[in-house]
Parts: sequence; C-alpha cells; structure tokens
Amino acid sequence: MAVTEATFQEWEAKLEGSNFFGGDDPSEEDNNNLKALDGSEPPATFPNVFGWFLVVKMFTEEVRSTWTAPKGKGGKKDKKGKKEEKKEEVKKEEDDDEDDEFDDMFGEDEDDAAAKEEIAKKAKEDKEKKKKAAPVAKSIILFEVKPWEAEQDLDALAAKILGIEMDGLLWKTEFKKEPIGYGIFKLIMGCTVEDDKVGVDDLLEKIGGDFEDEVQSTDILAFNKV
Amino acid sequence: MERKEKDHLNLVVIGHVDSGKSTTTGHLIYKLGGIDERTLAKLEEKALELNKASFKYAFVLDNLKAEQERGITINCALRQFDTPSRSYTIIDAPGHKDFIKNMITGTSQADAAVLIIAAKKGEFEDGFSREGSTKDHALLAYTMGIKQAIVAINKMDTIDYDEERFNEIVENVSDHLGKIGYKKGNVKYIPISGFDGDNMMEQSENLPWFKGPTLTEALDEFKVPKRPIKKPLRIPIQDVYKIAGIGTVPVGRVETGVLKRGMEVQFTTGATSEVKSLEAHHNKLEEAEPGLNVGFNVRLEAKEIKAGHVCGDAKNDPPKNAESFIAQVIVMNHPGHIKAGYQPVLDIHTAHVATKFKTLLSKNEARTGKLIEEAPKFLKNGESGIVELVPTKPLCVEEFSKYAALGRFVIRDMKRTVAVGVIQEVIHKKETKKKASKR
Repeated sequence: MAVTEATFQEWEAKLEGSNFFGGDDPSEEDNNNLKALDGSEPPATFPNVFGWFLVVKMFTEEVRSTWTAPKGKGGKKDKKGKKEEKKEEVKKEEDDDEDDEFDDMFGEDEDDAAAKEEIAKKAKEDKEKKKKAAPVAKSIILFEVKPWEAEQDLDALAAKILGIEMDGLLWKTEFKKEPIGYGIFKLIMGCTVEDDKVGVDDLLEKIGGDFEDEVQSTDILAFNKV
Repeated sequence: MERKEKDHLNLVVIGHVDSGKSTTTGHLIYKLGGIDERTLAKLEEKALELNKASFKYAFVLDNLKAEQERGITINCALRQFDTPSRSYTIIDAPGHKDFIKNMITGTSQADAAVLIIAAKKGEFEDGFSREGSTKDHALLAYTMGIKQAIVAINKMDTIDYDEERFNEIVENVSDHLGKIGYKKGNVKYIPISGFDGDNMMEQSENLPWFKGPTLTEALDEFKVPKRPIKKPLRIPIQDVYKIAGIGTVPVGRVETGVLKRGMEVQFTTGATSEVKSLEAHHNKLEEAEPGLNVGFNVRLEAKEIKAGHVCGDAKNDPPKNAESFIAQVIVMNHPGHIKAGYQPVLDIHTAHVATKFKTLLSKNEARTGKLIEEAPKFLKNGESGIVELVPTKPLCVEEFSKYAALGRFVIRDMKRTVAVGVIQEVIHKKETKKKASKR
C-alpha cells in the first residue's frame, strides 16, 4: 500500500494548522491513512505528516478503531463543500494501487449523490477487505486443572474459572471431568484466545493464583492455531 | 499379549500463515475421520440445505473453524485423524508467543514435523525464504529432537502443477533444512494441493511426473519412535494427593522406564518407598509405561514430595539433583544481552526454578554447532552457545540424549520465552544422599 509523493503533498496541506485530518480530534480518516502507510515512516520532508504520524501511531489499533468518521467540522482550512470529497479520500486511500484514480477523483467536480453512493459502496468493500486482509490470529487451547483433594466440588471450580474475563478470551462453556485415579478427578477445559491479547501462561497462572486453594496444577493438553 | 492398538504419532505442522496449512490439516481431519460424526452429519445436512453440496468440503471446513472459534464444545480442540495403520494427532503450530514453551515443556511432544510451503510465486519467497518463523520453528523442532520431516509443497494447483517450480523450491528448502541438520534421507518432499486434494490421499492425475508417495503414505512411512521402556524410570511429579484411607499419592507422567507395583522407588530428595499400588483413569494397574499419567501410592508423608521432584527406580540409576549443568541454548527473544550472572526462571519438565548463567563457554552457530567464539562476553537474539547453568534450588535435570523430556528447557523472563536449551552434561553433587529437600 504505497503512499505516493502526491498523496503526501496532499496530506501535508491538510495537516497544515490542524492536529488531525478531521481537525482537532482524531477520526477514522487518521486511522485509515496510518494504515495506508502500513508501518513505514513518512519522509521527514513533510513535517506536518511526520509529526502527525508520530502522534497517531502511539495509539493502539484497538483505540484507533474506535475513532469515528469526522464530524463534518473539517479542518480549519476546508471549505464546507469539500466535505464529501474528504470522506471520499478516506475510503480511497485504503485501496491498493489506486492512487491515480484517487488523484483524478480529487480533481473532478462530482455530483454529490453519486459521490455518496460511491462512498457507501467503498465503505462496504473496505470493510470486507479489512476483514480479509487482517484476520486476527487466534489459538485454541485445551487444558486440565487438577485439584488438591478428591472431595472438591469441580463444578463449582469450573464455574469460577469460566468467570474469568479477559479481552480476547472466549471460553468453551462445556467442560469435562476425567478420572486421574484413587477417586480424584481433574477438569478438562477449553478456550480460544486472540494471540496478541491473551498470554496463555498468564491465563493459567491466573487460574492457579486466583484459585490457589482449589487448584494444585494446570497443564496444557492441546495448543493449536484456529 | 499382542496389543491391537494402532501406533500413534504426534505431528507438528509448521508453516507461514499463507501456506495453506489450516486447509491442508483440515482436509486430512475431514477426510480421515477426525471430526465426530454428529458434527459432520449436521454440517453436511446444512450444506445440502443451502445447496452447497458442490463445495461441501470448503463449507464444512469454514464451519469447523467457526465452531472452533466460537463454539462451546471442547472436542474440536484436539485434531486427530486415522489412516488404516496409524492414528495421528496434529499440533497446528500457532503464532502465539507462548506456544514455543508448550512445544518444549508440554505434555504432547511431537514425533515428526510437517512443513507446509506455498508453491505460489512470491508466496514461497515471502513465507519461507525471507520470513523467519517457519525456519525458526524447523530449527527448534530439530534441536528438540524431531529428526524426521515431510515438506509438503502446497498450492500446486496455483502453479499449474509445474514440475520445474516444484524442483526449484525443493532445492531451496532442502538447502535450508540441511543447514539446520536434517539429513536428506529423513526428509520427504511432496507436491500437494490441500484445497483440491491432489496427492493428499490418492495419486493425482495432475501430477503425473511425481513418482513419490502421497502425503498420507509418507506420513505412514514415518518411523514410530520407540517407547523408552528399557531405560531407567523417570517420573517428574506434577501433583501430590493425600487420599483418606490410602495415604500419599504422587501423580506424574512416566517419561522413561516402567513403574511397577512393589517396586522400590526413590525421589530426588533421597526418600524411598515401596509402590503399594498404581492407578490411571481409575483403573488399578500392575505397571505403567512411558506416556501414561499415573498416580501411585507410597509410604511417605505427602509433605515430603513436591511438584518438580522426580521419581525413579531406587535400584537402577535413581534420579539426583544437579549441582550444575552444561547446555546448548538458543536465544530467541531477549531484549538485551545474556551475560554470566543472569538469573531467569528455567522451566523444565514439571519444575520451575530460578537458574543462574554461571559461565558462557562458547558461542556456536545454532544450525551447525560450529564454534564462533570461545568464552563470549554475551549472547544475544538469534545466537546460540554452550553455557554452564546453576539452579538456585534443588533441581533434577538429565542429559537430553539419555532422558529427552528431562533434558530440554525454556528460559523465561519478563513473561517471555527468552531462550530454549538442551542439556549436554549434568554435574552432580559430590556427596550422595544428602537430604536436599527444602522445608
């Protein structure tokens, strides 16, 4: 997703006198443009863009995705009529190798209704594209939890464990009790985790730590890519 | 008595995200009965209903993925399939940062590796040649004792089943694997399409030039590792129970040797006892072989045995605590430099013990072991070396070549796996039978 020199010039002008593309508050446009850069630093010859990049990239993807579309305030330098074009640019930016078209569009005077339709279509496409382009890496884990004593209530323990909430953690609500021997049973439980959000060791340590009096040990039985 | 059970193998499947490894493993599981029948029937019915019978396979796979991701049942977490002669469990290596630790210290050790590589122009170059994780995983697998592998050159359908391209990739990959240490005869290269099914279970008309085995035939040619029943007994203890009316029951997995009723066992603390009885899955047993999780009743106080202790045969090389040990380590994810004096946590079998890097003896090439530098000042990411380690608490470790499961470890610090290692030599305490147990 290369960003052309022309686009940088465009951005440089837009960021002149405002912190973000949408004005003083970050918007979806900032997120989209940052994604367009795909992690590469903009050339320092565009100081506004460069400064903007340093600020925006400090936010996590999660936070950035909560930024909504510009509220129509626009940058101080924008005329009202340019609003639609601006939005269009946001959508355009995400498409691969369409910089030429983007430049053309910007130069043209478009009928508002048509532009809107185009925007809606693009938005939909982009959404689908995003879904496809960046699948969240997940793992599925099967693990066992062993108690201290044969008499413990494993159903109650399982319920407590299933009560653990973490961002990116999804429990399999089904669990099993398997015999170890001598009347002792262990719990077999499962979950899926988002690789970047949930540490599997952290989760197991939490189970062992939070329920120390009931959990003697935990062990992973299967650890697979979803 | 002759066992009727099929041989079982654990396969670790390694590949770049775009290699199509999920599709390929999914295909095997789907076609070879790894999906429970109820789920399968339900999905096939649904596919018919939606008039998707023609691409039923893709539909089923997609739905299985959704089931794994969001479903409530846990049975889909285990990936298994059967050929007529064997049963297999697949470990579909995720990119999760904690996976490597599990691969090394976890209970389900892989017996063989399957590398999935995309043949498509560009994808091969990005996925294997440039990007490192497939090669890292292959190196790790080799270092941890997985010496046999299949390289499945996938997505042959996208390159028109081109023999030349296949040969080009084989040459490139075998060069890399050779550097890691894989012997030519232990690696098979097989063209497949995990999506279309070419050469997965049946010879493909699209690949008339390929005279080798299908993927499943090649899997069945893997040697089944011998279960180390002849070796002295080693059971790292995972849990200890006090059972009313019975007494103390330590539980652990038999790694080597055979635990027998009536045997005199010795723990690393020096404590000994007769094994009064043993049980697994609630069945009373006379003996327990490698791979089995077993509980056994001993005449000792529950307090005397702890997780991380190792149990062995008092009369045949009983396990001892190590004074220090020499190991080859590969630094994988350390933010700075590892120097002498560094004291992270070592995870090995069921033990977790702070361990000090006493001396850095040498820096070696990770792949070949070739000496780069004697007594280096430090080791950093990507480097490998021979070091002497000293545990800060009593700890039983073994040489990897003798007792693999007690000879491989991970080093953790700041919640990361910073390095992995295999033990070459163990130095035991001079005075024997001194009670090393802590209060």
